[in-house]
Amino acid sequence: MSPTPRHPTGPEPGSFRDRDSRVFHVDGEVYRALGARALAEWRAMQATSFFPRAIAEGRIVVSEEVAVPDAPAAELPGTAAYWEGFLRHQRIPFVSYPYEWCFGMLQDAALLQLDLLAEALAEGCVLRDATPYNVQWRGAVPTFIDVGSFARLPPGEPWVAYRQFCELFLFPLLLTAYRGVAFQPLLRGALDGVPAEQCRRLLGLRDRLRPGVLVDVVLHSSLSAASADAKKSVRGELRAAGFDRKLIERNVARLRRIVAGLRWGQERSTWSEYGDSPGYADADREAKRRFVAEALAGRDWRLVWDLGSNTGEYAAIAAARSELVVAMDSDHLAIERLYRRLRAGGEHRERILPLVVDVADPPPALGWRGGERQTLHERGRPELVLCLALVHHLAITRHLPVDEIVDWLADTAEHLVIEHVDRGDEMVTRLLRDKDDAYDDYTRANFETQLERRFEVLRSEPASATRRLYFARRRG
Amino acid sequence: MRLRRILVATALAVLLLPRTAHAYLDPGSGSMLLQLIVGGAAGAAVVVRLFWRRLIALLPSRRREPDSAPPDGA
Repeated sequence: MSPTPRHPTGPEPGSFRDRDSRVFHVDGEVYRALGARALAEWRAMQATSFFPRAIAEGRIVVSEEVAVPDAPAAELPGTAAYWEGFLRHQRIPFVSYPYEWCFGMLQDAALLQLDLLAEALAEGCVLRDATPYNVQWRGAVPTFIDVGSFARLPPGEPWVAYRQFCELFLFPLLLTAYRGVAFQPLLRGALDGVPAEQCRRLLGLRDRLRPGVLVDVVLHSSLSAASADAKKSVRGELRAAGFDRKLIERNVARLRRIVAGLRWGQERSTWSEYGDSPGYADADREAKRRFVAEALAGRDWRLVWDLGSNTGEYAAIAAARSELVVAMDSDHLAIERLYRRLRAGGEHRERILPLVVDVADPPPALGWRGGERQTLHERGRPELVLCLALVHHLAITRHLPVDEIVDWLADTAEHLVIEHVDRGDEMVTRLLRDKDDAYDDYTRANFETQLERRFEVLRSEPASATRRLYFARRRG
Repeated sequence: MRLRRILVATALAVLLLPRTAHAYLDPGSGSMLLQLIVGGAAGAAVVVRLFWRRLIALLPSRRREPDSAPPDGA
């Protein structure tokens, strides 16, 4: 089975807010339908120097104007006759959302957004919104996908997306950098982000002296409350009073300095040191590396998920034979370190997408009609899953029955590389300490029974006295 | 620089506070006004023009529609 293409044909459920520019899919290709206004803006962008340059550099997704795609009118978004032009976009191999990114990814996405805006402003253009959902990743390299956001800036217009930039980029970053508050649950909990008032309440008094807090959070929150019932259009008033483009440029440069200066200071976490812990002797690791490399060697893979990827050691082995490896771990710091290493020019930087994902509490369907943001599985199932040193955590720490775990894996991918850590292992003993439940289903024998029920084991080898590796293919 | 920011912020607060009746979901008016505060001298100039226009609009003897006058055209 090849990975399910995301929306083989039909409108993209996450693209409907911009009435004049909507994404849809035909046979796995990604298209954008443009109304008259959006088409005029697209053509105006072609005449600039920054826009084609950013596409050539890969900072904006590769896009080209095409004839009407060969699709039934019913598959186009809205009313087919409305559309004046069409674009085809390069496909993003795996869509991800900001509540799955690490700090450095949200920070780099913010900088990309601000840089593109600054370049657009210099040529009299603007980005009409400022949302991280407009940034996607080719591995660990960010790319801006919503070309419909670029437009010419009318004279006197303020930057209408400033608030959105704060709520979805700046405030989540400030909270993580200054307070160590994880932004992922906040962004997953509210697709519009963190309002200034909430951010103000979460920050402490002494934070007010730190960059970005007094003006962008505290004053922003007060001004928003004070102008909440403004009877006139502030936008109209500002336009009439001669709002200058320089004001936006200045603000963008200021925000860039603040964002670029933010650091997330956390040094240690539960698992980020795991790869180096004494539980993993060098010889065991070598056996594991060899097993994974040999299991994947037979063919090339399009999409691989590495669950509990930690330092990304095995994701890197998989990346040598795969178009894309999505390296997931619930540990934010582990993913942050993997991302930093990839960004700093690490091997396979365009083939490993690091994501903060807890498979026991995976990202749900969110937004309007539950279709705007999709579950992991809806975004494309992998051909192969790496599940190394993870089952004991799911079974014992997260109380998931072993048969459930195996069923979930069988629903996910056709091929599986999995490790079982037996009860005698130091780590399992540590996890079982102080537990009331005996976890009777967590035995080597039951694990193998459950695995054989859904998978055919192609190869199996011991990795150490207590650990065993399996390469398996789903039955049926 | 900091002093100018405080002055502009105070001016905006005066401009807005009499209308602080109740907090209602805000379409972003405050966010747009904040851009004047971080805008330095250019922002201050816009604030002055905003003030002027509101003042003109309040004068009973003017028979034109509020908001139709250019800021410095009176």
